[in-house]
Amino acid sequence: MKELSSNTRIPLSNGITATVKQKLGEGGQGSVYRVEINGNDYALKVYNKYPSRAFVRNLEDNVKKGAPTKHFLWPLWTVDSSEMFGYVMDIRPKEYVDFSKFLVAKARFASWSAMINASIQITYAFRELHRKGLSYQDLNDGNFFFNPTTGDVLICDNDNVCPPSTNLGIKGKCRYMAPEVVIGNNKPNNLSDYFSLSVVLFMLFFNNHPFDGKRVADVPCLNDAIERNVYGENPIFIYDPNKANNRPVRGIHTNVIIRWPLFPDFFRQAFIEAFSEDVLHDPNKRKSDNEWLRILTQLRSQTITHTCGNETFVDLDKTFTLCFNCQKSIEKPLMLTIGKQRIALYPKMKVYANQTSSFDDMFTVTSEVIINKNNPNIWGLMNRTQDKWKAVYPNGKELEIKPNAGLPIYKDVEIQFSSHIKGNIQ
Amino acid sequence: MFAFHVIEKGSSHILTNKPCQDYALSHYTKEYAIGIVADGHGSDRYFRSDKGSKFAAEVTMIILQEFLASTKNMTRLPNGDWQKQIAASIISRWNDKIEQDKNGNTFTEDELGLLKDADKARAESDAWQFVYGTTLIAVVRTRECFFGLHIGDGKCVAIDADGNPSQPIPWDDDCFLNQTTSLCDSDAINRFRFVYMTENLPVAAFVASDGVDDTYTSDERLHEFYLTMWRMLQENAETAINEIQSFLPKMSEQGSHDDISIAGVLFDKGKESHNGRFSKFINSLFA
Amino acid sequence: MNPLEAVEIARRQMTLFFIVDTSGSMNGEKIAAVNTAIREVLPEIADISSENADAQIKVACLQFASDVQWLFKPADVEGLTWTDLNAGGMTVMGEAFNELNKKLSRKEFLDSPTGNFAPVLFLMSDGQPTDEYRKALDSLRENRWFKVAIRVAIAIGDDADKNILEEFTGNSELVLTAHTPETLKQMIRFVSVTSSKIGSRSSGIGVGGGSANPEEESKQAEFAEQVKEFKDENADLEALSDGF
Repeated sequence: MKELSSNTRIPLSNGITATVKQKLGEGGQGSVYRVEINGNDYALKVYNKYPSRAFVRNLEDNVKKGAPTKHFLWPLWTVDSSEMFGYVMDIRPKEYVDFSKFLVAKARFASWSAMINASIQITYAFRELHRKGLSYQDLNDGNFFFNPTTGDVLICDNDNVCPPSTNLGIKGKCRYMAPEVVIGNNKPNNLSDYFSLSVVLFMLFFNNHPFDGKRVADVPCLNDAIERNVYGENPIFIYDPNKANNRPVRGIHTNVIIRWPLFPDFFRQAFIEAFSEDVLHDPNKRKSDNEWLRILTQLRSQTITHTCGNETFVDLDKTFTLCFNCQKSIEKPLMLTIGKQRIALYPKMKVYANQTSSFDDMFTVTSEVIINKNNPNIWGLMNRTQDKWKAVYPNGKELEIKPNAGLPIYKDVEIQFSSHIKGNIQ
Repeated sequence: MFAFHVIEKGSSHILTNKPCQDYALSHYTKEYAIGIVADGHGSDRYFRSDKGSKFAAEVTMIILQEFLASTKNMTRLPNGDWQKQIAASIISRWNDKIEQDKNGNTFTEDELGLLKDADKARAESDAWQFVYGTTLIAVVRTRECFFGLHIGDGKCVAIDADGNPSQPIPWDDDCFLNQTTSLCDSDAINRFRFVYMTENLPVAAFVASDGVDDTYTSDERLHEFYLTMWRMLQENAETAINEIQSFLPKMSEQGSHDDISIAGVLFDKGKESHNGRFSKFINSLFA
Repeated sequence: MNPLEAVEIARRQMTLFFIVDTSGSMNGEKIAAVNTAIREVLPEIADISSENADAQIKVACLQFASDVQWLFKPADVEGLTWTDLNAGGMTVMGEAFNELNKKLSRKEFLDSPTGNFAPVLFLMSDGQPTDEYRKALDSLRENRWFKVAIRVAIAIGDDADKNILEEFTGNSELVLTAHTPETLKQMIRFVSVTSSKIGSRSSGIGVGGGSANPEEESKQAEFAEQVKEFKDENADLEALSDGF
């Protein structure tokens, strides 16, 4: 495939023409160029070799279906001529950094909130992809870009996204492939995506692969056979409660050693389960995207900004938690329980639409905790929606809470967000 | 292929009746030569660093040999960051060894008595590893390549086929004056520096603890030291090694006063193939 | 002969830096006292150096008034003859800090960490800086060599800014105040001799990786103790305020 020079005009499938500006990069499959279409910048990916018909058809299908969410850098239009095949997608803004840089500490999230936001966006994006009847099949650290300040996510390399029953020849990247795919028993599908997602989430939070512990460290030379064993045939989670032979090693796995104890029990337990022997070998037992979303949004509801200025997690099952920045003790705050969600009622805590309504929207803020201007000992819960809420007090008294009004936070108050969604302050 | 090593207790340690905290090992076959030195940290604080350096050298030798055996018939390099993987193995197995030693020989009152309060508290907690702290330098010369790894101070000097000396392993600026990074550091894996060469391979490479470079205090003099040593070894290895060993006490006394350990790997296409001086010396070693 | 014996084993170096305020207000008794004191102490330091198998002591002098100048760059103390400093002009301490920061590096005066012991930085001033010194001092305090150096200062008279001097030394114990020429001379002698002795001593090894080095700290600590003792023993001298 010849290199495209600047100012070459490329006709697109929608009839418009793109003008090549410059080459942005090159990968195993093809090259990416910056192009201009009607005055705006886009990215054009061109394959080195003309792909299979199945691949081309699938890509055209994806263009028609459209991106599952705004997080995907999705094919917008294709380029199909005798000389080349490729597609145009939105260009990635400069502030987004590749996941692999985070993994080697060349980039960092500005806060735990940003990290959690990233995890929620990734999981949400994949849930929507799966709901659209597609599977990713090649989830790995090379597909993600994050805005380090906000945690906003962009997902790229969507070339191989296709229905679970199809496979365009891709297996995935070692270490992210589900055990059954590594061994070769199965082709990638949604269930193997769930596995890859759990690995990506673990790596996001702990900067360490879930199976990289002493077992791997002790081997001077990794080869394909050993990798197959460690990541496929016989994987052992570094914190598996029943097998202690693959624990993180001092001096090597510093990040996970420091971070693991910081997280609340329920969160760590989720990973212990996800990587337990049972679940590893039985794809049907894996946590789905939705289950991860519940876990991640719960974590978000326990992430507070302490008076010392830094973020920390409160444990809602203990009478007090130590702030891991300043080491001061934080008394367990009152919490708002809505269904299975428990939200720590601490200043700056936000509550989201998926918690206070039946909308499946985990990004819109519907309420937040603020400090009373006149009395810093009183905290209030504000109504940030357009609807009226009702607060019911233990003595039976009822109070209407209009949009942008708030109520002081007291124990045993019930808040009715709607006719069928109620929360209790406990 | 040839490799050797020498160790000498420093004049200051002789005076204060401290053990030698340096350790060195070397090994060679027809296919490769390995040289390793490890320098246990000096002050009272690091009261088991003599063991630390010994364990470091020993596990490194085993790991390098395992590595060379498993890559013997490989036509390409191992997956991923293979040098970091070797370093990870060394860290992992070294931590095992010191833990075994600590559990088998709990810290005595005398040993703990050497520490200041804050350090004593650390030694009695989970963060006791520092008492075994050591640096480590290891180099391997095979027919096709030369590679090395280094944590902490000390220096590696290599001599190319034209007789030009250089220091091929990058330096870590955190090793400054008396400060050094260490195998006991909690992020040791990130403090390792590496070199890997497949062309213009050195004909000789020497690794040594800072007892040597603190004696010769300038690159010029240090390189002259090793060039001289190399010439001596080429003349007659057996005599050279004896002369080097006998010179070390004087060197320590006049120079750094510190323990000295040096290991060298040599590759001389010419002399290797026939029953020359090298093989005579090899035989005498294993007699 | 063993060929290795022919390779020179040179001593490591320890440099004592005199950083002297030569502004207009130093003119007269003050600068005369400084000149006499240093002239007299150099032979003593030379003795310490020649008796020291480990270290070669070098001396350097940076003066600052309306500009900065090296009276002499690091030179072997044995055989060094002192040229009197002249006073006159402003007090560009900030520039002095910048110049010191520049020269305390591998590429300049301190060629290699293995070749050098931590230096001694001896600052003497009688007044306020007349230039922007804040950034310069903050920057200097980040310099590796500065951090490990033995730092000491003498405030000459009461107009000197002791706060700045304390920031320079990092320890209020290491700022002395001289009120008379006699005291000044005694202090210069004491500081020069003691810091040279302690600074040129070989010390043990420490694990740092960027953090403070216990061994170097102990040299500073030991020096601070000796300075404190000196201050205590000479308290009556310090108390005399009719002098400068």
